[in-house]
Amino acid sequence: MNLDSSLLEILACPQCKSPLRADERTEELICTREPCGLAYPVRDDIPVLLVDEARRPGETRHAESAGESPTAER
Amino acid sequence: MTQRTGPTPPPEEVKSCCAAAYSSDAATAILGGHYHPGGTALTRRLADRLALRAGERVLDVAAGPGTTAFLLADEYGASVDGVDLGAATVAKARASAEATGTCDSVRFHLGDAERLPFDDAGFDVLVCECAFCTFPDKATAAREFARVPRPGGRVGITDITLQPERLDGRLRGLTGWIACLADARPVDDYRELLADAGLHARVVERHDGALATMIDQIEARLRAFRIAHVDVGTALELTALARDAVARGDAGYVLLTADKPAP
Repeated sequence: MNLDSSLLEILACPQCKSPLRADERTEELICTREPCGLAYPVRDDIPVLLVDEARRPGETRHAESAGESPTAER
Repeated sequence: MTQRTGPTPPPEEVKSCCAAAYSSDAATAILGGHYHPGGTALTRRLADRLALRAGERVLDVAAGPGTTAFLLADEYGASVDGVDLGAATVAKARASAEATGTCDSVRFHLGDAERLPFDDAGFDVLVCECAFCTFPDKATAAREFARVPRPGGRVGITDITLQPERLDGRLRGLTGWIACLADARPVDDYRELLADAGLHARVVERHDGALATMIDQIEARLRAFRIAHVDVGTALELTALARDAVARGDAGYVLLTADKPAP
């Protein structure tokens, strides 16, 4: 995930307008406010800051459920 | 607020269709790179009316390929963030910024005008060219337009105006590429929407001639080229209807600026 650090200073959660933090592991920008916590995917280095495409806290990521992880392949 | 009559496509469909249409090759071919009436001359006029100064932070809503954003950065020395609903459009605009070495002054983001992904009061100026008319929930978009500029900041819009009740039904359907016209409003509606959001109108200028000129240019292109995925006969019918509407004063183009009151 290649994100300019200054980006997080101006961006906010489109749902609740709280600050976002980058999660390098899941390649998402995650809303820092409880209980919002929406996670926005970063695709081709572009954060998809659309509520409709965000992952709710506790929900599985689309990539994992689609079988990207080795254990899912049988 | 004026009530619309007749069948219209679902609002979300119009918005995403518009975002997709603007990134399509057909749109590029028809519009010849000019995505809004008045072109860059009207963008400069908007910047002048907003008294845009070097170093000011600008948010360009529905930035498209970045024409407005690049101009404001290049000619006015502004620091510009553009936001657009089309992923392909954002990628293309970013590629242009990289190619021209302007990434420091112009950045592009993927987001929705009705739910802007920006902090409160982070910009001096917000601009939106030829896109407010496409937003399904204009009141919500207007509140977002009032939220992101700092107190004392300015908002500048150029957009299509329309007397919706006089609009020909054939212009309303999504079959026409002029889907944007389907939810354009009279000038007073735009002003009222901004006022309800807490923005005070300062400048209201009519630029109907810019719309007429754009329709002429589109028609010339439709006649000159065969464009993939475009039914030229239907498109010409629609441009004729659009031209009539401008001539009658039922359709036009407006430049509007408003101030966010300082505390």
